[in-house]
Amino acid sequence: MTDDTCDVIVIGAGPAGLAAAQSVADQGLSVRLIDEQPTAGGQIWRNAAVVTRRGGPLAKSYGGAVAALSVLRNDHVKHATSATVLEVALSQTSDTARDPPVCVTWLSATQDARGVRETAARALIVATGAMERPVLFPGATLPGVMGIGAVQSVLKQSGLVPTGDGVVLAGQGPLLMLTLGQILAHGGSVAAVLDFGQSGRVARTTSGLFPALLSDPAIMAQGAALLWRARRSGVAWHRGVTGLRAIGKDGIEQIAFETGGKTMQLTCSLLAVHDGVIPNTQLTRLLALDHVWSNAQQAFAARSTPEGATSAPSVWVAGDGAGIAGAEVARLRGALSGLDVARALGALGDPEFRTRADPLKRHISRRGPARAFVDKLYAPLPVTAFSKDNAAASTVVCRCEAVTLARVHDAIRDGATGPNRVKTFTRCGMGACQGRMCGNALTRIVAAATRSAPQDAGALRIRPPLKPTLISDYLDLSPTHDPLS
Amino acid sequence: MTPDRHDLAVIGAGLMGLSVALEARTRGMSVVILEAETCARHASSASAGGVRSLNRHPAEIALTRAALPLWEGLAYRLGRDCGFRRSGQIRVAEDAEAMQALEDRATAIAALGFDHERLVTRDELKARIPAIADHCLGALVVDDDGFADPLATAHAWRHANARAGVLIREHTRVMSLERSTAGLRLATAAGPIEAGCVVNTAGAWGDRIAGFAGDGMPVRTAALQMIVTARMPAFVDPVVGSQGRKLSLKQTAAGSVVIGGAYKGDVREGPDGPLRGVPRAGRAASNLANAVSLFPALRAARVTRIWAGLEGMTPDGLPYLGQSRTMPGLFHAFGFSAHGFALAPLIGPLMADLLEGKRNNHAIAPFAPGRFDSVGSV
Repeated sequence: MTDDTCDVIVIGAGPAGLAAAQSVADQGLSVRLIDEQPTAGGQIWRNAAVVTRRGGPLAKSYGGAVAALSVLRNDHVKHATSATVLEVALSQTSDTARDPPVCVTWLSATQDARGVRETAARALIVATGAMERPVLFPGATLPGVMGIGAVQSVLKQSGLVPTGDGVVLAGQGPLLMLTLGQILAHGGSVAAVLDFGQSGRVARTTSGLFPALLSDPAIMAQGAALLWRARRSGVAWHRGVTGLRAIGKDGIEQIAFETGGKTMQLTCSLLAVHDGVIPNTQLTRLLALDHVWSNAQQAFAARSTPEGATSAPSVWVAGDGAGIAGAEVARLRGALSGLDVARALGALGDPEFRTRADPLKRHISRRGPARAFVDKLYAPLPVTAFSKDNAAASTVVCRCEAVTLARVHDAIRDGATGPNRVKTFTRCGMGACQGRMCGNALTRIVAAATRSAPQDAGALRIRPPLKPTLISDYLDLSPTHDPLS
Repeated sequence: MTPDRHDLAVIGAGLMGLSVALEARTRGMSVVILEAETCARHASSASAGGVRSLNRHPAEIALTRAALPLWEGLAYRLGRDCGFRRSGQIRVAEDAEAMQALEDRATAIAALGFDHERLVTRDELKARIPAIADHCLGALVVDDDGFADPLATAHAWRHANARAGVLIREHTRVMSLERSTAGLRLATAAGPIEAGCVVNTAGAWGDRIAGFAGDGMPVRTAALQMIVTARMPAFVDPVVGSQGRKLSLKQTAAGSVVIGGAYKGDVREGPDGPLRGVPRAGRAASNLANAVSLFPALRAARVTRIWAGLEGMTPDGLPYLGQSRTMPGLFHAFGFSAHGFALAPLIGPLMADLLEGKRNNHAIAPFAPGRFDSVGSV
């Protein structure tokens, strides 16, 4: 019961998804843009209309939003907000006239229209962006412990930053620096930063500095300003930290950690942790696409061509979901994948495609050295870097099913040679989030323990629905809905 | 390359293969299991885990009744918990026609000499399952049926095999099978293997293995869907089905509700036969509608996962159990057609008896491998 058809479905309305929709619509093709948020913009431009109107320090990072969002006024683009994708089916037949190659089942949860829909299309562009890398340490599941991303969301959604004298940021990466600056600029306070970065790394990385400066001076200048302001902020800065623990009864009260051979303890009301972002691969895993492990980013992404074409003929990926490269490159890759889809669907000839695609490709490759520099400077920490070896029994890997690192290690010793085996042995990754939170950590843990390459260790299989879904919503799809009930 | 030699090679490390291998090893044979993918990858992990003698095909009733006591001791035998619970199984009637069908069934079963299936009234049904919808009129019940956790069971069996000295070769697809001087010779992805005898427990791939020997044993591959919800407060103890409706519903000890009903997903084909099952939302919705009609409160439950495992279905829904007609030393135990789980502990001893040429009391003539031959005789 497909109730909606279009040429191209784009999932995710961040910089990549918006640009992809624009490219596709520019060629006269119809687009269904499906996004989980109530307004478009993705994580980077969350709540864009309000933030840009409000002005202030945050609005500065919304520079590209207005232009990107204008695609929503295009007649060829239908935008579904507050919409969750449950399942994507790819047709196996080649009779595309009778059997469209892609069918997306999604739940609309807007205030005036709730219901499950099915949309069929000739092609799919997956632009589901990035998510924070899971960070494991004892006490990480206590209320009051969150990812830096959650602090970002609240700031963008409601203009609020954490206050009080117990705010601690821990980990590493540009987003941690950015968030520190934003909290301070919005009148919040930060008691301490626990820097897990390796000392001396800057020196080792300087070989790539000059090419990086040439490649993306704006990003590099922004990064330097962040570092400079952070150093001058007067916030207590602990370096070379290990052995983090969050302590509390019903919520976080204290943190303990080791630095310079000493154990320190601080009062803490909010602990925000971060070790970079990774591609969100739930959807591409659901489709069982080929994935490739990036050693630099310590994460999987769907294998794709520069234009975003994947191992499935009707599916493209774009943006950070195809490998982390930041918002501007995400926008460029979105535009490029949209052109490639238009070409594949016959709406754009080869010469015209090249005329439009070549400048995009040049812009993307020019920014490569800056990304390589940042990847090296903030190389992901080992998966157990936040914790201590002897804390495995109190370090939770899977929050949904409360599976500890010690139990994962037991399963591996028991013959679990991959994440899916660990899942069947321990229920790790079998809960409500299906391993979205722990999957990256699980692959790295298994690979390290079995001395295998993460590529060979593999990743958790993902099943529909992508998010837990009310049975009453599912009943919309039932052709035999029973009058007896 | 000199082939490895074993008394027995088992093809397929699902529950049936694991059961046969462990029993044969216990009786002193040297055993290797050859598994094309990984242990319990398909039907065994998409199983609903029902340990059910209720509403069985008459030919299978005696076997399932014989298997039930084995479940009691299985955790002890395997050294690990299998999540087995004697929760009972219940088949409700939602209208007069269904009630009549259950009454007829009870009469027919009694005439065959069985007394394990019992009719219960509407009041008794409601007393057993207060959450059941008011329109239900009564039910057929087997009190000593139950269910187990398929993953835990497979895990336990695999472990017991490894401990007993059975070689489990995963990612080792069997590519051919032929007679040799010492018995049978198998070509596998990891080299040749010689075995005194071979048991084919390859499930959805069982027909391909049988084909190596020239045994024409049709199976259709089905991707059987299962649905699981987030945890809920306990509301139902027995496994529940409904006469005239495709449904099997149970609540696990953890509180999640597992819903099946033989709804089928899509089968993805690969170069070596069926590759994997792909669940479909629309068919899951039909399954969920059936569940909600019996338990209206389920509307507010959340589905967390739908998956599909590949199973071999025979034309008459009964398994193939017995020796190959064309290749002595080859034995078949596949085609359990989505209801083999309960039989798994029995299939080991049953097949081991066949291998050893021992007599037993199990009537397996209805499961003869050659029963669909148009020309040959069984």
